[in-house]
Amino acid sequence: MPEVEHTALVAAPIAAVWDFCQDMANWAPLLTGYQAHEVVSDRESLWTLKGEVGGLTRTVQFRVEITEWKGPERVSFTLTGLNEPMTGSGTFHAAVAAANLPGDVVARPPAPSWWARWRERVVRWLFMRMFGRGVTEAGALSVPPQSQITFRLAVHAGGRAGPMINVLVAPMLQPVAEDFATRIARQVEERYAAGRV
Amino acid sequence: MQEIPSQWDLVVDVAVVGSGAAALAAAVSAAVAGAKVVLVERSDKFGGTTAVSGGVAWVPNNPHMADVGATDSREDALTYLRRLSLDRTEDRLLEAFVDHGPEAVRFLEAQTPLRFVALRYPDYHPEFPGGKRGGRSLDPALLDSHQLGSLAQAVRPSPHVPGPISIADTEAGIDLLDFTVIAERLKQGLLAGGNALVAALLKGCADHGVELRREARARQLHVQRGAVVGLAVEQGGRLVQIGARRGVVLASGGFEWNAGLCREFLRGPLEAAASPPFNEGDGLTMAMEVGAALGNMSEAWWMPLCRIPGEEYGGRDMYRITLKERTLPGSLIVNRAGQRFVNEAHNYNDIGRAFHSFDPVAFDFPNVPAWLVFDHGYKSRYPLITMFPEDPIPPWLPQAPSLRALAESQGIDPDGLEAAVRRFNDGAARGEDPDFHRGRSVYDHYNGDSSRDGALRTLGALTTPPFYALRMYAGTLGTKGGPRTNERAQVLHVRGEVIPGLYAAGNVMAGITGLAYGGAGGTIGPALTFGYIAGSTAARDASRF
Repeated sequence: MPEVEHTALVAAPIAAVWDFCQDMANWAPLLTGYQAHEVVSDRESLWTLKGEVGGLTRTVQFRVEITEWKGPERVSFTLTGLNEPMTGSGTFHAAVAAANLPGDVVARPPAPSWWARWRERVVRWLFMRMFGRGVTEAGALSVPPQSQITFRLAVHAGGRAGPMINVLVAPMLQPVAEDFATRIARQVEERYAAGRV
Repeated sequence: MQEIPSQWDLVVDVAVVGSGAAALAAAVSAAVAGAKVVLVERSDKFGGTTAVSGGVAWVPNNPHMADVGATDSREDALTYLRRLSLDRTEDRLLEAFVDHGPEAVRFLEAQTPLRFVALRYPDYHPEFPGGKRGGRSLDPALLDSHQLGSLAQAVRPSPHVPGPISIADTEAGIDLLDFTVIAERLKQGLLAGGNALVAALLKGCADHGVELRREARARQLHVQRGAVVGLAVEQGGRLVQIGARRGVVLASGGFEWNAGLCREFLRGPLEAAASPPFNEGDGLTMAMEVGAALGNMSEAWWMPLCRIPGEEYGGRDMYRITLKERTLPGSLIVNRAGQRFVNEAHNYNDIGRAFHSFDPVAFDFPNVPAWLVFDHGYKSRYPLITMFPEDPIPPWLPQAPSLRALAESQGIDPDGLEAAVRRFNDGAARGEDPDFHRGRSVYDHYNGDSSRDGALRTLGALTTPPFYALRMYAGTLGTKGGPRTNERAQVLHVRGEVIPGLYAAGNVMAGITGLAYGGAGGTIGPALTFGYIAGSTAARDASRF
């Protein structure tokens, strides 16, 4: 089963990450190929994605079921193809950024004063207005990371053509995971900088 | 007419427009002849229509025919082509194809990694005088993409041939439904079909020093004192002026994705195309601009197509070819009157022509739209497009418990459909099709059910509900009308004389076979041959500056 994982650093606290990720509508459109999603229940949603394999773009519908909802750190889910014989699973894992962990002690910075928070937000807002983003062109964070998001995704094509599809899909998953985690990170940062968290 | 630029951005001997079989053959043959060559491709991938095809080349009297026990001669080949010409082709062009085709095969195999394997695939009218029951169709052998290095990523992927598989595999007894074989080949980086053909020729071009440019769209020819001396190419947001001392070869494909040109020129309705959506007639437009005579403009390589909703290629709706789907027993094609109108197992080019029948009283095209109708016995025995017998019925495939209900759901005349199926079933029980002679030609058997014999390879009754209807579209693999050429691939002016410095090959040119499709690879065989002729002739043309 092709499986990939990617971690993106976020210049926002883990609470901001969780605040963003709690609502599927925030991050669903950030997934490569996203077309639509429909929330069926707290645990279940239906997704429509467009994916390209070998130049051919197909529309695939998945049933996504949340199997673990453990905020603010972890959400796990399973995928079941509705119009293609595909299954899969994935996990979002949010954590305090490794850079913020001195030694083996989890060190949470003291809560900043309201003045410090306001000043930081103004600086971020100015930065966003001037440069359009909170990170450098190379993707490196312009401010120290406070948290990180790890996105793991495994997809398995079944059916008779499964062995071929899995070979074709495997190299495409890594960029999908990278783009998705990175886009979420940037969105969280923007919202945090704009004071919407 | 654009003025000659005061300064060229690049000067070559030969500039080639396009990157399919004709273009690549032209580029490599010009380069081998000693010319400095640039090839420009408008999209981000090389390969054109060839890359998305099976890559088979139909070359009569080719050097590999003996490998499958076939024999051929110049006379047989010309007899066959003349029989198919209906007086709409030029004999000197047919002779040039027959005479230089085998030479082109030998040349390309010597100068590139391309290797061909002869197929037992019958000609599309094997019973006609000069027709053959195999050997003229050549399949590119598997190619290791590692030979190309980073250039391998620049080969256009095929939505029609999802993995490295070929017709030669089928003939060799390899089970193409065993996808572990395909997966293993993918892991090894092997290419087959049109991808193998393009990759091999591309490697040959690179080895012989051809400068290969992608995302470089040729827009206009430069003419000086009546001769083509260069072209303007859009690349990187600017016009790049390329001087071509000895010639420009147009090999940019057809115009099937240009709705305006299709409406004005084609003989009948065109609903869809199976080629990359970049074939918008760029070469045709440039040729018209310099006064080229046009020929065969109403014709295309016709193909009934089908569609899986939601599939796209190159940002446009994707249509799939139909071959076995039309041929296997338990299926037939009807129009909206519920009537059959053609031998469904016959070759796609000539079936496609039947979609253009015109009813003068009703004043319309009665065979558009049309449907492939089949029963559950067919569905449970054979693969259909991307579906396997064990797969659930997808929501896009209409089904109904009776023929009448199916017809009513699709807007087909129910009485007509019931009558057509009843008559077809009666014939199938006797192993014959008295109306359209399906199963009479050995060609009809080739894509049929090989576990059955004779006409029953393609004839079988529709009896088991539910019944299904798959919409068939009047489609094409590419147009084949464009600038007329002589036997040296030189483009002719509307006044009759040669336009010096301008050549054409492949689907952009006025197709040398007129209406006909000689056999599997009937597009690529002439494309390779006239590409080879164009490139080698242009390289030896006079240097104009």
